[in-house]
Amino acid sequence: MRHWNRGRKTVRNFLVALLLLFLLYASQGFPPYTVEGMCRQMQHDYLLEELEPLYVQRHWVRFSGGKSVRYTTVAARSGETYTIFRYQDGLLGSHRDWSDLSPVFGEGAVATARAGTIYAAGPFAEAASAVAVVRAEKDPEPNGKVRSREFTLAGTRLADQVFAFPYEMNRHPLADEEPDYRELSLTELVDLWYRRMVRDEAPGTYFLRDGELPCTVTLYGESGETLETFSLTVTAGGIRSQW
Amino acid sequence: MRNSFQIWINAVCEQVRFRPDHRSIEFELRDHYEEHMQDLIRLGRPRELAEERALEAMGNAQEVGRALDKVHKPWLGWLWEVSRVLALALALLLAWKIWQNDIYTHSLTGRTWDQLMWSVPASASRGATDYLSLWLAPGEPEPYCEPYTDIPLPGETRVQLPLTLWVETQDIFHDDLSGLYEDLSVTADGQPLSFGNYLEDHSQLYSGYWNYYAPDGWRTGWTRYRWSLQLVLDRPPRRVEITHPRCGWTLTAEWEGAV
Repeated sequence: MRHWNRGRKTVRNFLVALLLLFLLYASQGFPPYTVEGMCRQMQHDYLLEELEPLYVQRHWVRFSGGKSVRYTTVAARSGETYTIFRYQDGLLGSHRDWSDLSPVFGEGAVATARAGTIYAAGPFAEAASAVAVVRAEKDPEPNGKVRSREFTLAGTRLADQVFAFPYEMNRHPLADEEPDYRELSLTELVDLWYRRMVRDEAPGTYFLRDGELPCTVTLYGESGETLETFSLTVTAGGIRSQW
Repeated sequence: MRNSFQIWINAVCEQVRFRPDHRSIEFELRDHYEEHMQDLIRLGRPRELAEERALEAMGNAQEVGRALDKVHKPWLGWLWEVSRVLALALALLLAWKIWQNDIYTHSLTGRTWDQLMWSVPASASRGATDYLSLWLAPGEPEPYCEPYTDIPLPGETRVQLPLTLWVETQDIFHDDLSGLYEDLSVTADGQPLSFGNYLEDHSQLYSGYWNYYAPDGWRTGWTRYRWSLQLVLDRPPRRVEITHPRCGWTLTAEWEGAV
């Protein structure tokens, strides 16, 4: 075998490391590391025009098994299309968080609910404040009566074109008697009205129907005048999501 | 005399700044020394004299040490160590990721094979955007078979129509083309078809829908994809159009003589 000096061996090792690094990156599907990379990937995957990030939030979620995961949530705009999406960050790059809640798209504006906050992105730069009204609606009763309740949430500005509307996250324990819906929180009411028992399954088995709740975002100017109103939706699954 | 050699070798190593190499230097010099000593013993010298002469022949410890220090440069030594650890760590990490086979790990060989084996028939219709090139080729209509069976039910009047869609992207920095296949709009003879046969109220469509299916597997290269679509219709169409709401392309498949 040919004897290589240390310099050559070092160069060889670094070249092998470079190749392995490339293979590792390729094996993960060339994941992005930066918000710009995430936007570019979303732009390509969803065939959008250039995607401009409007707001970036990074936060850690600690799961019951003790595992902690960092997520990057991005609100972005591509022309008139607004989107909110989330990536799971890792040492080998960030991977898109696959769920019904990410990505969400909207023409003109978009809203999504997640773990106690409704995020709304749109042309909100001129607004001094914003209020969201979320309407939960029960399926019509046999007599045709439709019960509904509206929740008014005050907005906090996160970025020029992004508002957050926090809501209370709590759960009503499952009970035989239906509680008074006027006393329930948004999550409790969604739990009650958007839950469907699964037939022929173990008692108590249920799933959450993929319901959409109308969410009206109203923008107000400095002197309290109404600037604009956006009719958006959030999902029942998003309202009840824990992370 | 053996102690003398140890003193000599220690003096040599003191001159060499890259300490991880001391052991191999000692091993190599000891090898030379003992070989020389054995040669002298074979020539009939007494052992003590052979040891003394062999040590003298090794030279001045300081000079040998300085010469070795020039060869065993600390920066190069540490760089070499780092390169070894790095290559090993990356090899282990890659092996672990491949063994783990999680949702993020792609098959390197499978993707490369699909990338290389991808080819589009000349007859396919073409569409393009800044980022994508697409091609569509029609198959022949045949009686509809339930999924996982090859035999149509008795009295079956529906037809199934395979279509093959090829896509080529401009770079490798995409996850998948979710936005493409989630949002396709398919029409048969001008009539829009729904995606999948389940409607929102969980009822099922008998026909007039399209779906993805993979009779011989999906082909997913690095920049090249091939998907199969299946249309389920009451009768063979003359013309099928596939468009995307956000892109300016339309792919067309036509059948001559269809009813």
